[in-house]
Amino acid sequence: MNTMDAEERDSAMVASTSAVLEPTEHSKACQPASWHRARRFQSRRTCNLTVVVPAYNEAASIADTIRSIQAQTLPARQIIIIDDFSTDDTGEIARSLGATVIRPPRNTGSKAGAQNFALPLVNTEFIMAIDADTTLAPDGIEKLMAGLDDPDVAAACGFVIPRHVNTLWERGRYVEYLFAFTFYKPIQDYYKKPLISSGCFSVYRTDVLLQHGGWNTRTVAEDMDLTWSFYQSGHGVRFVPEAVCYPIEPHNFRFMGKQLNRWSHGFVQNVRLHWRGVLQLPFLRATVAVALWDAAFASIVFLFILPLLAIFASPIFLLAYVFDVPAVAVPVLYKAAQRGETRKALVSLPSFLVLRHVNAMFMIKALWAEFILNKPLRVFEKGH
Amino acid sequence: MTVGLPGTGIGGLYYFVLVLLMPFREACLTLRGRSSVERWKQVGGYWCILLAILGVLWAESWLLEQFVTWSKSMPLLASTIGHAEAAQSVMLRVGQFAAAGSILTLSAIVAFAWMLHVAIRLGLIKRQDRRAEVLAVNEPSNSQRPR
Repeated sequence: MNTMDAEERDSAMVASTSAVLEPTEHSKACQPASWHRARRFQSRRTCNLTVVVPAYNEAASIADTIRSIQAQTLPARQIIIIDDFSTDDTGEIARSLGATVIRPPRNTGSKAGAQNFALPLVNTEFIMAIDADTTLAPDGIEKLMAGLDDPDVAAACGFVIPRHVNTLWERGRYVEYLFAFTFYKPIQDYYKKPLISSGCFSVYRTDVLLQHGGWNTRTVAEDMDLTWSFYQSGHGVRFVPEAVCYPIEPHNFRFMGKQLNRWSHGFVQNVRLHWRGVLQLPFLRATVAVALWDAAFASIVFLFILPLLAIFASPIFLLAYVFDVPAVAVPVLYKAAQRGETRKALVSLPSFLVLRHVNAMFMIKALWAEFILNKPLRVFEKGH
Repeated sequence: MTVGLPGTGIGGLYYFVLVLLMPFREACLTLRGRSSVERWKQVGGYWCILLAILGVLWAESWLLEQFVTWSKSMPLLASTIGHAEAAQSVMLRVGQFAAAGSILTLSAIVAFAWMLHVAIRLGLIKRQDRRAEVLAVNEPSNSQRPR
């Protein structure tokens, strides 16, 4: 999984680990804030958690991330920042905030590789992966940990909301997330099969994660790979909508393109990799089949068939581009109203129409490259 | 990530059907003693969203119909959208085709996936391990990494 051998990794970690948090003031403070919470998180689950944050050139955002983790109502026992051979001050900033910082001897080349580099240091029952540009709601960890109450559940993921909602791309993503995390994902969770435990904010049982060999680098969507692997080995995954995180989303087309390219290829790669296993799981089988159909067919309709119909039959076919907007708006506005962001959601709705065309474009490109040209994406590119 | 195009196509219909099936599943769970008031409330919440979506789609269709009818009397609009009556007729046919076609397509996709599953169980599809083929991103060619 990782390009570095174990000895190299161990020596690098010993050399670069600047601080071990236990037993420090941080871990002493790692106690539930109230008696009720103490009861709820008593015994084995009390703070028995390591947070790993892979970071490559994240000097601009890593401080906010670490502070939000440290300010949790249920603090983690350890916070490990994997400074993945950054060329900026990521490591120094993290170190100055009291986090454990480890640095591999060279860039691991992937988020999964960086996360795996931290695994030998993890001695807690649970491990949480958080992106270096992602902050958490103050009770994010506490809420998310509740998703692992059932011992059969191996992973839990939370609700994702873009931290900044200013540009067209951020607004489009904001609507997309509000829709997906309010309508699609809770339904998947009701049937006990969320399609993916999002890598930007997920918690895992460490032993189950290790049984699966950590985060695999064979696809460019390691979170989807891991989620589907869990299902195939009989473990469950939960979505906890009350646990909220705020990542920085791509603010321009260049970065959005990189992210969508990786996500689209990641989905196709995981379908190719897991199709046989996924077919054995009734709900996941149908969900993935429908998602694959939509990814291919709906994209073709949006990009090619509707414009042709509009030109050669009637312009009225252009209405198909906006016909479902009210349907999308219902769950979006429902959630936005709960968050007091109705105006922001209304203003952002048109951006969603743009983003979904770009989604379609990258999905077609990924399907073509992976299935027809047999040219899988092998290079990770940062999405912001 | 959201796979596909949220809100569109067969995916949207699929999730509608899943919500429609929830009370039946919950009833089965209740009979087995594995449900709760909270779970029924959850199902009720999804149904409210579903009904609201269906409501706005119906309202939208009605408004569209009114618009096309009104546009018959507006020569400029009628010429813009083609002949209004023809357009209305096309829309009606497309609407009927889309509704029936979507349900049939969704059924076919789910059935096809199930048949593939059965074919594998019966050994009709031989194992071809594509894991090696599906890459190992072990030697990155640049130093960038994802969020």
